[in-house]
Amino acid sequence: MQCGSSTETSSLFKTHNPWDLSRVPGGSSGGSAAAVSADMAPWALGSDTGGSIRQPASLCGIVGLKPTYGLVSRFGLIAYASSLDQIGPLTKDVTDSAMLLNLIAGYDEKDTTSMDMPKKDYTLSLVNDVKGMKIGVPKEYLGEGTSAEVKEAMMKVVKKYQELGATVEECSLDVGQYASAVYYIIACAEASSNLGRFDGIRYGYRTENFENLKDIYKNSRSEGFGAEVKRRIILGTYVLSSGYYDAYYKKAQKVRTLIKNAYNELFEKYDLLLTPTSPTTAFKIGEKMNNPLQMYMADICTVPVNIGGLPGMNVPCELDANGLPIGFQLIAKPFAEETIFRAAYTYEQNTNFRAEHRPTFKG
Amino acid sequence: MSKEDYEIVIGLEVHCELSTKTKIFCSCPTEFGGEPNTHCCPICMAMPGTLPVLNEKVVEYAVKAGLATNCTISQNSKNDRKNYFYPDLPKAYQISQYDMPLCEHGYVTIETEDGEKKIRLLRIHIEEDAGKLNHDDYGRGTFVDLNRAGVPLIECVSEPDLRSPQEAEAYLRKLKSIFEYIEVSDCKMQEGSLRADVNVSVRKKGSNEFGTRTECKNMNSFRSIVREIEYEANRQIEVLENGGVVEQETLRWDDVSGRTFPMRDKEDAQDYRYFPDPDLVAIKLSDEYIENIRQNLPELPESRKKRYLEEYLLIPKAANFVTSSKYYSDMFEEAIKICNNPKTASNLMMSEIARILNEKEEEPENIPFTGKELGELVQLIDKGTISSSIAKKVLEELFVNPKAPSEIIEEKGWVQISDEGAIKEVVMKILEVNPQSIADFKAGKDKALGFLVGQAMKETKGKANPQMLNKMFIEELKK
Repeated sequence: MQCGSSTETSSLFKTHNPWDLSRVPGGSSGGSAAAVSADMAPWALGSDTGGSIRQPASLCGIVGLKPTYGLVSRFGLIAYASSLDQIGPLTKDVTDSAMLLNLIAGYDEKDTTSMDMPKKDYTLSLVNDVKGMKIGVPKEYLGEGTSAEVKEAMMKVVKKYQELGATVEECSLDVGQYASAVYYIIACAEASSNLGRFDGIRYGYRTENFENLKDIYKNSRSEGFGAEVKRRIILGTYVLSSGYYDAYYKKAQKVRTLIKNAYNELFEKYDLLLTPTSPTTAFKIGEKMNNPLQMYMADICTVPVNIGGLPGMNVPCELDANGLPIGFQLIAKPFAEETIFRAAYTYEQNTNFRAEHRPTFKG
Repeated sequence: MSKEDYEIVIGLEVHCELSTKTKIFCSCPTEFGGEPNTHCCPICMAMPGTLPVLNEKVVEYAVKAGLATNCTISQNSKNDRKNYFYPDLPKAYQISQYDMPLCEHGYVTIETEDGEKKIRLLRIHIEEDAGKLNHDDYGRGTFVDLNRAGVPLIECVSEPDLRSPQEAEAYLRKLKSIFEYIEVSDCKMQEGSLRADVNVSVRKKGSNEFGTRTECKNMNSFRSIVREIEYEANRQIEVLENGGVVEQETLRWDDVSGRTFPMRDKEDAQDYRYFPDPDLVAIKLSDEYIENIRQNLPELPESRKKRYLEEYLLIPKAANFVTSSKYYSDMFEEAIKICNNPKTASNLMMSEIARILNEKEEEPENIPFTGKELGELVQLIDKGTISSSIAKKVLEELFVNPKAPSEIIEEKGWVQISDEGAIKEVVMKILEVNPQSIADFKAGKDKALGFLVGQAMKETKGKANPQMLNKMFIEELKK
């Protein structure tokens, strides 16, 4: 089990970023992203609950898509936060992403939260044309906390899309500022329940040190879980406790609805939203290890997309002064992956990130 | 103050296993028994990565149960997780329903000494059963059997409307009978497919406030429920009379000592952290769906009773008895199809079958023969092949060795003697050894005839046709 945005709390090993081995690859699917980026794998699947595909894709300079909630079956995925989790492709380019999504998308009678709708061929959306497309840029994601270089890269992307014939304008997702709070309440609540089965009876690590049933539970879970997982279980247990449920969990669900509504409104006006994927490029291993709050900031741009159940993709676009990849995120309304593929493909065809830049394995 | 100054207040939470073929969230069989862990799969064993899919039949059965108990059916409902750790619960949460149960605000009617009484149902919700722990006799530990994990249950919560152990028993019998009639559960208490949590409190008569209640979990026989309520009410009254306070606690009933014991200490007060299960979508039922189930509900006991009174002209006592259990009622209907004699069939059930079951401490569902055998038996009486006293013996035999009654009487040589010559022989023999009875009869003592017939029956081991005996004795005595 692995939680967080760096792979530093992984139960096995830390993963290093192929662009700079002293830095994190992002997380939690950082291993998958690093492997694809380093050409160790042609493609990989990741699971994305709050940004775990897109954020490492951004930090490792590859394409990462979190599909709409319900597009890909969750059967077989070890649940972290059931109402947020989605499986998606991590690939070297947009074409691979569309081809891989063709294989994994679709209704599964074993997952009642998967959507029963006709299959689509996403490669048909790989069209080099964004003329007339309307793209909104929520100003809230370019404010404080976003590095100057990331902002600059975003401006270049905006310019590129405008050159290619899209209309790009600033918009606002004010309620999005609550997304992280909502995310940590809902995700931790669901995780605290989903991880209950790793109690040392049938699943998970079992302590050798017990006298009675209570000891098995207490010691297995104390010894078996890592610090970040424990932090989230405790938080989740707290927000579901009687007396706190209404103030936290229930309120979070209400705000979740408000965020969804705000997205719906924006998508009446725009085909896509454009944001950074990560407010900064890859940080040094150990840099944020002891500061969970700062760690949680790493997925500030990706979390609202999960809250809304929307599709979102990281597309690599620039390197910063340290030679680290910067990516932008395209967000569409539910089940409008085609729009994302079209815009991402057009950007890719008219720029040259992958041809010009390769991981250097320095450091 | 004394016991008579107190009123007992009882509420029941009845858990009833539904008789769907498959479990509530996977396609494993719900069948009782089987080697441990043979009726389970990765889903009901909670393998990480698996997801539940709600069995539509479970919803249908629960809606049936709700309609048959006069509940309002919720068109919008959902599944919630009840989180707690126990080795028989592999997910560490039970999927149940919390604040939006499928059925609400119903009632059933029971017969009491003071006439009919309505017992209100607060709610009926669906949930999954847990597995079972088998404690090893040789001290090698405890083993988990997940065959029962995921078997669908309905939990029916009554309002605290019951006022005596007898009312509680009548209510539970009524609920059981309704669920049997609508065929949503086989309600086998020995197999645990019907069990009740019993909430008991006491208060001074005339008081409007409820006393503190105790809850006794997992009771699975009528007898122990009645005993538990009696014991617990007396215990609570004694505590109050001695100036003490009744603690709100969960109890365990011990049938051997006839006492209740506290089950958990307060330190373990559970917070189940209920929340909507994000793995399952909301349950939405259309008007048409609910109406369709309502239209197709099987005939309920009240309606059968009416029919028996009007069509078969049963007396109310017999009609009440026969409809008190679906097993009785089905047996009765099958029998009269064959014998066309509702009166004798119902009489045999009410007197003989009920008596034998009572002696064996068994329920109607345990009757080992069917209405076919009963019908044939009545036919044999009507034809004069056997007497009604032999019929009683045949019934006893049917419980031991169920087969065609004609075969039984053949094997046992119980065929009624209706041959005039043979009857006459017996009559003459009895008269010969009982001269006093002849004198009594002639002196106008009619009782003497009964005695003589009785002697003749004894002589023939009950096989002589009683009507013929009667007739022939009178003929001979009047000579």
